[in-house]
Amino acid sequence: MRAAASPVTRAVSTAFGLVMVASAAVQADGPGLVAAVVAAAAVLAGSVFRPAATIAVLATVAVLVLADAPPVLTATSGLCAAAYLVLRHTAAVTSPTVLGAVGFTAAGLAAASLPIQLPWVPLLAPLAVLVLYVLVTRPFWAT
Amino acid sequence: MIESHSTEVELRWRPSPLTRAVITSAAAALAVAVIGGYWQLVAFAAPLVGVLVSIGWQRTVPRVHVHAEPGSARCFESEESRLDVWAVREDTETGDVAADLTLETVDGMRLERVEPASRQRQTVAVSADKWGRYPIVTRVRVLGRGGLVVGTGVADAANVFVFPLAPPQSTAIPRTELLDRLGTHLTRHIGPGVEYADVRRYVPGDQLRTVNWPVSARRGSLHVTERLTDRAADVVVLIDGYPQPPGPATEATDRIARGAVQVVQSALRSGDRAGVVALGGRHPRWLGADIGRRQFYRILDAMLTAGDGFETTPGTLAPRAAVPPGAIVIAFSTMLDTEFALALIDLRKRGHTVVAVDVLEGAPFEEERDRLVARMWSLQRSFMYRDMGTIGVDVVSWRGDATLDQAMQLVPDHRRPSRRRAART
Repeated sequence: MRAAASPVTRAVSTAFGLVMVASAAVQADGPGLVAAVVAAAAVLAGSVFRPAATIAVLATVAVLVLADAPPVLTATSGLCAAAYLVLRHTAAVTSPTVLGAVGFTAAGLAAASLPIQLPWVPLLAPLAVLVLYVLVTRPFWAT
Repeated sequence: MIESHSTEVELRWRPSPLTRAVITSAAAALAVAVIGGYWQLVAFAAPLVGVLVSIGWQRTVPRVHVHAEPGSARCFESEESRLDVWAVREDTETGDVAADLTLETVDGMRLERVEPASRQRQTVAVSADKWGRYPIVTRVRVLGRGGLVVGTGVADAANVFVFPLAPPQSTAIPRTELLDRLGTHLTRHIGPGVEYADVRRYVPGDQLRTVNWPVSARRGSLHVTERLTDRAADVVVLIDGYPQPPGPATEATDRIARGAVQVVQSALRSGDRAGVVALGGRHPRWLGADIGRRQFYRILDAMLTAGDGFETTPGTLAPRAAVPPGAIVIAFSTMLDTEFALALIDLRKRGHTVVAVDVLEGAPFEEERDRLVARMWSLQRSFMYRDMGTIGVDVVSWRGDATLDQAMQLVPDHRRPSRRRAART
């Protein structure tokens, strides 16, 4: 919405986007740095052109993959990505949004840093992710 | 008093761009995590999933009302009218964005934004070159549930009624027996008035002030001056509101309203009572005859179905209450609909003087036909004119190149009043 584009909100969202890219690119080198530069450029473009924000987040995923970042940095980057997208699209950040993002970050960090390596996890993971995806997007089907 | 009008907008909710961006990012991160085995990306996707899941804890979607002040604007053609339109969310939280408004209108109306104070409250100046009822369509876009869903809706915030402008010429009313009420139309009846009529011998009961002293002195006995009286008429305009075939007949309908306004305007200006009956759709709208400037605007309202100052009655004939006894009925029609003609014949049978103004020009066919068809059409019309004339409904043709007062000069004079006067004296 146009109303969300107040200069302050836009600046804060751009700052979150840059933090997202920076925390992803802490350990990056070579191709990872190139991807980080692309992501930073997309963040700057996203402050003018909104769909570029999604591209910036996708480029950050590429940076994380190339740099093979540790879970803590990944979680920080993900939290910043959520804040970046929400602030970029709407000026009103409600408390449920913040609680949901922070709570799930903690849960995701815990899940990703589990030291146990079970042999059947790679088998079950795609199914679990698919079920999770369906459950999460279900409220939006009816509307 | 300016009344404002409030409409609730029916919103259709769908995922907002934010939701789509978050879903895309989360899905990409999870897909890479699963396919490539980069499990730390689950931590990246988790906050995004958290944002999506938070929809269950967000507030319910708001309801939006669109307000307009004034709720229904009335103006004449090419006049400018100003409207304030704003939207109100029912659960306005502090810092939350209100609804986003876009105002539109239909073809034929110009809409200009005047100093847009905010996107939630807009002032527009509207004007139209052609009479009619123009809705101000408001498109509302509002974010709900923490920005995760977006609702869009369309509502008519206000109606702008544009009244037709009529030429200022007065139209003549057909000669007929007028009501026994003081007015401005000169009649041949003796009574109070200013025009000289006759001198006759004094009879007891005559007012002394009417005594003509010079004549009395010359004749040696009292004589009084008689004067012609001015009387008023009741004019009821009948409007053809039946569906018209496309092409020339639809264009002619425009002149129905203009002609009706001109007749009403000139009747009210000369102190007559005027009323209106709009036939069509089996629910005639009508407004009883009355005098004054207010009645002019009431008649315009009834013609354009604005407000609720008029009455409706089921049926296809003009209601008896709408046409007072002795009223002159002037009908504007394309004379293509049988039910309208039947309504005219019914009025004639009730004893009214009925004049039908035919606004149709030429044959009502859209494409060019054989000249024989046009010839047959004009013959058919002249038969119809003659048949209606036999019943007592005079039909005059009003073409676009003449003004209405010129056309109405052609109403045949049946000389009924003079014959009755001869019988009386």
